[in-house]
Amino acid sequence: MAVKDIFKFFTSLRLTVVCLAVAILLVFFGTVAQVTEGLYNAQDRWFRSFFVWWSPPGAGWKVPMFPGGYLVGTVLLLNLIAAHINRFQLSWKKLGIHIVHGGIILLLAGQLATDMLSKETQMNFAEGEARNFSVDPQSSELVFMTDTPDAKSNKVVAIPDGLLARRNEISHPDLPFAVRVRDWFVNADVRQRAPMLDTNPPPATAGHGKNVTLIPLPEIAKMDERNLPAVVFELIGPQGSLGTWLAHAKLRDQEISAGDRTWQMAFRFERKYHPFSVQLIETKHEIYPGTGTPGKPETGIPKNFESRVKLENPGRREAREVDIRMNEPLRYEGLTFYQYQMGRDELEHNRGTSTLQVVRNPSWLAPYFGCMLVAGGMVVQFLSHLIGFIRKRTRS
Amino acid sequence: MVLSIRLRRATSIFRWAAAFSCALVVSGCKREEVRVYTAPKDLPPPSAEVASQPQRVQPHAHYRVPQGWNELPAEGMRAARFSVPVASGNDLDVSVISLPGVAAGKLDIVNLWREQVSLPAATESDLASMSETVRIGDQQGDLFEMVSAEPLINDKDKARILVAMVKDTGTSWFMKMTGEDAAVREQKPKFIEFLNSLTFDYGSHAAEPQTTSAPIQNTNSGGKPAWQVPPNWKEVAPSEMLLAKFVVPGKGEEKAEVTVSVFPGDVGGLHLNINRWRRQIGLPEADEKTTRELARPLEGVSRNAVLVDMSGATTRVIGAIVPDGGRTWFYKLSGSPNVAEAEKDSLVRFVQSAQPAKQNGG
Repeated sequence: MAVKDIFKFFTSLRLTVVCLAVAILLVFFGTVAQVTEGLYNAQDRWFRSFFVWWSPPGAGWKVPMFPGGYLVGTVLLLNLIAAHINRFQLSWKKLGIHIVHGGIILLLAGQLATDMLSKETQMNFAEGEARNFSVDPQSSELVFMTDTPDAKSNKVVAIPDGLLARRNEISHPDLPFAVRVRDWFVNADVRQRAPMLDTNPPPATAGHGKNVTLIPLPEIAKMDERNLPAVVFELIGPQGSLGTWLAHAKLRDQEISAGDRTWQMAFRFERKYHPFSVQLIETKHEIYPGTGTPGKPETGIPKNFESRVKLENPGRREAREVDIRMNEPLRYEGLTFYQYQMGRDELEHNRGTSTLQVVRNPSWLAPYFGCMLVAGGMVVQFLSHLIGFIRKRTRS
Repeated sequence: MVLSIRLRRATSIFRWAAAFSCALVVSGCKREEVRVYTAPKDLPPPSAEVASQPQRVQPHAHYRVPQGWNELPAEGMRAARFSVPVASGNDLDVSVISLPGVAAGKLDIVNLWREQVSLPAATESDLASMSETVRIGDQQGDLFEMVSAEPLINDKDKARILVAMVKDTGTSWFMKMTGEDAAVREQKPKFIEFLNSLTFDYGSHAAEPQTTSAPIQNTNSGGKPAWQVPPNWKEVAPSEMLLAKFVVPGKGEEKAEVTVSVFPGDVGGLHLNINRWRRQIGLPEADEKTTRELARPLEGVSRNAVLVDMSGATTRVIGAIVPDGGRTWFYKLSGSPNVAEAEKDSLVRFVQSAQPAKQNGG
């Protein structure tokens, strides 16, 4: 009885209407929330969740205040499948309807798969520079690197920012010391200590942290700005403390001697290494004639952003130049390289810089097939009615 | 009957859909755990093809160094640095900072420095009354003067900052003197004299400069070349802008040091950098012909690499300048003449050993 009721509930057309109405509200509120919460935070809170949680300021508890994107999508998917099963009739007349439903199911499932499996990273370089990795600007990691026996590569032990934020002691069998997190800042800046004026103690007792002042900053929600976290930690070796250290993306790599090895330490965006390299040869920033100040294309209306890159893959003995421009990405090795941002080197004004968005999305074809199925199903259904209608008229 | 068949089918499809969703959720969840992996070292600097493009010159300044000021090597964003001796031992710090296309307003910048001397933030309306006009080269700039309310230096002396700022062809220039209140007030005329002598340069040098600021911003991102360090060199912690530093002991008190740094571009070229080293050891600046003669080709290294050997009254400098792709590497052995003489060959071998492995440099 209960199963029948549940099945009936999921086959209801009212449920479809409610889900679609909730989805419209969710998209509206989630979009408005991006202004205050930032794109990625709002996406996580409103769309990549089963419930949107709310907590009074300062309270340690939270309550669900609205269904999240995952819940609405899942219910809609189940509703569609259940309704389809309930009303399923194996007949040529209904073929178009089946194809349309298949297409919509593929669209929903494909979006869920994209959300879960796709990974966005960025490749940022100045003209002449090459990269064999891309970075995830939403995640930072504290890395400890040491030479491998072949001296051509590094052994890297990476601690993600999420672990550091818990302010615990972190040990790992591959590290000759434990990392005891003293303080964590979600966004901070560092500056050289002003001679004689910075009389407060420096944030660290070892490394570059001795020579800088740490300035905690509020978390940034804007899309065009980034949080640069900082962490203050103590290294504990077998012989005792190796000092207190400061790690921040603006600080150069720091060297730590522990046991018979030397480790380089850096705080950087999480890296994804690729078996090929991309070198930025030239950037092109074109604007529409008559807009902008001469010599300052950034002040005009953009017509084209274009990066000429050299793609080298020793494994495939491949070396070729490719143009990546707006709406014309490069697809290579399961990755898609989009032209994302363009600028000038802060210190070398004549040197162009480019940021490519590197997306790995195993289900990127799902929406294409889904739309094709929906369109095809509608055509089939329309034609079957049309042919039936014409036959009927001919007979009469 | 039909409903029960459909229910069975539905249950099986629901199970499948639930399993699919769970698998996606689990695989999509970010795992917060320590990762261990082997990664190739960062890629080498630009290839010859890109490096063959014309070198770009960093913005830099020409100036006359006031009497009694000691010029220091440029560092970080500071295009020039000086220290001015003070009897108390708290020498004044003078720096020239260039920031291309600074977006921050004048008020933000002034407040940044007011914060350094623990003064409350100023408002836009305060700004006009806080500055005086000063001649910076052939332009009019603003000079701000701020003094702390409390003794900040060793809890004994008030701190005073003099900051001049001017915008020149899209680049903001800041000239700043910091130190004890009384000493800064005493040095103010010399600081203004220094400001008057400044000219800013964004291209190659057609005219002989009086003296020139060194380049800025070491872009090295970490990894050192896999060089062969002579056994008697002791590596010590480098300062912020150096890639590496070694101390070389000699007989008794004699010693020398070897420093390695790498900068983008040609950092002003041979002439300017050789003259910078000459000034550091108390030698007069040389003309371009002389600096060309001083720069001897260095074999076994990259094309256009040179070795320079110069002796001052008490210090000898042997330096290698190695252009490499879009960057320039500086290897400098400086110190007691005897130690420098003994280590000259070691330095050359050290530079040569660094070349193939420089591919590993970041």
